[in-house]
Amino acid sequence: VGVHLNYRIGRNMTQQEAQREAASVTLARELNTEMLRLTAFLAPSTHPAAQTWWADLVGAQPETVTSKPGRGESQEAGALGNCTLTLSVQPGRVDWLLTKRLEENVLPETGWAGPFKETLDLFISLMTRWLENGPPLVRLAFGAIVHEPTQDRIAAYRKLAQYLPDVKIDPERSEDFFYQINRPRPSETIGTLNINRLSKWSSGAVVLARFALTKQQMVQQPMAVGNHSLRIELDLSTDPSFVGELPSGELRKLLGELERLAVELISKGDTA
Amino acid sequence: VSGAETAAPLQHSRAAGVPADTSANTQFDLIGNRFWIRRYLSAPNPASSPTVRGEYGKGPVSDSHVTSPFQDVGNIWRTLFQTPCGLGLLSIRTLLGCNALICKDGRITVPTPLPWEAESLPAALAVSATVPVRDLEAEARFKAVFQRGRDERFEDGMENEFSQELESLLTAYGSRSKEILSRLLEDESISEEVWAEAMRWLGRFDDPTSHDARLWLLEKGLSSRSAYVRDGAALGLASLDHPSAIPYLERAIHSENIAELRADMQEVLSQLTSHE
Repeated sequence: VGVHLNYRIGRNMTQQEAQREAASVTLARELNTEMLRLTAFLAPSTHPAAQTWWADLVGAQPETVTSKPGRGESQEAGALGNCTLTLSVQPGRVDWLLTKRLEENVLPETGWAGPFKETLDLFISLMTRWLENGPPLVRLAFGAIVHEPTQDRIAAYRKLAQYLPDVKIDPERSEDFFYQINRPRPSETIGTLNINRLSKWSSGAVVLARFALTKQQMVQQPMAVGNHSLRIELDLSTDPSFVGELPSGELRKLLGELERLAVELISKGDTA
Repeated sequence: VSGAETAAPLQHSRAAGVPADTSANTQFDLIGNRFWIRRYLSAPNPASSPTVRGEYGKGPVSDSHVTSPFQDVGNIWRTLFQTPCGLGLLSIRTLLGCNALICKDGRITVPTPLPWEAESLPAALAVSATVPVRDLEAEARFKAVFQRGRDERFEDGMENEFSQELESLLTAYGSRSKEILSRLLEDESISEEVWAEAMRWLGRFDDPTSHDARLWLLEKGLSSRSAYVRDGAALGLASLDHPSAIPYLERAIHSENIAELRADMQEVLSQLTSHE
């Protein structure tokens, strides 16, 4: 915890160096991924009706395919290691999601897809490959939901207070805290582009429960209670005001920049 | 809580003899996340464990959570089956992986709106957010306007009820109109003549909040399968007069096989390039 409190950018440190240092701090913590998301906003000329992106990327066929051709929508999903990789195509946008894999008849111990660093590396390497041969885009976004386990709600609120230096939080006498802020920053990859850095901060407890059903009532039997965590939801995106298509040769670098900004936010908290 | 189905639950419900779309039988608002309920008996197997489609949306809607009292889920369950359920395990999950239920004060929370699930529009949605959300109410409004447009006779350049209604919706929904209209552009139940008229007006409206959305839609319209829509898009782009359409017009001209339409597009291209 002290690491985060004391972590600040030195005056002679470049932004990239600071981001790299932030990454090393972040990756040393216990962080779990609930979900990772890449959203690609398609150029108007793109019609991805007959794409085979999921299979091309994973090297196997997806387990499930749902298609609504009349609405220009499709969805493919399947296993990727211990996670589920989902591709959702809708008019104007493509979403890739990495979430926890659920096994039939196996009660999950947690809701996490896996440790943050492992899932991040896996997801970014896949998405980088997809972008290299992907469709023309007008906007790119990277989203992440990350949890940091805490002993209880008060401990989670104390952590929140550290990550949100501009917010006064009373851990003992407050509940239902939720904080959302966007701090745009100029892109290092494309000079005329701004990057939205939207972050949402809260805490929660995950409860696994079993439900007994009868005609008259449903009884919930909690199986595990009290897995509190600090929840950080990030949504980093290129600003929609950018005119024209994003240069395809820069998409890989742009994703790398979004990733670094995400790691910086998770490590340092809400800073300008 | 367990769940494992990413496959389209609708098919399972049909196979099990459960109505495919049961939302009409429920007492719930349709603004919430869709969800599926699967009943696990002591020896679960696909035949005896029907998956049922429902709508999950009563209760307060906050930023990224849709909550509902446990009892609501039980009500849906009973409404759908109308039979004693017996004892078993109930699995609730969203299509793309609601893999944990966060429970507080007797309520279920489905975390993380995901594509196809996030059909509510949370009040706290940030302008810069890219999480996919669908505003079903807005979509229905736009679609109704397009359907009413079918009964109108359009005259070149003359305002009509359709164009007025479309403009008021665009003004109301601003940049959010892009995703709504791009869905409708794929909707085969909408008349191509009405879309062609819409394209012409998308270029004429003077609403800055929806400008980027209208430009994107017009550029997309150039590659429509319908010649009516392509023609309307070219005219709309001439009215909007924005140079970012140049590369799309060049591509459209290259692939256009109707000579007259190709000439019209060429004229629009000349207009836009003359500003450079």
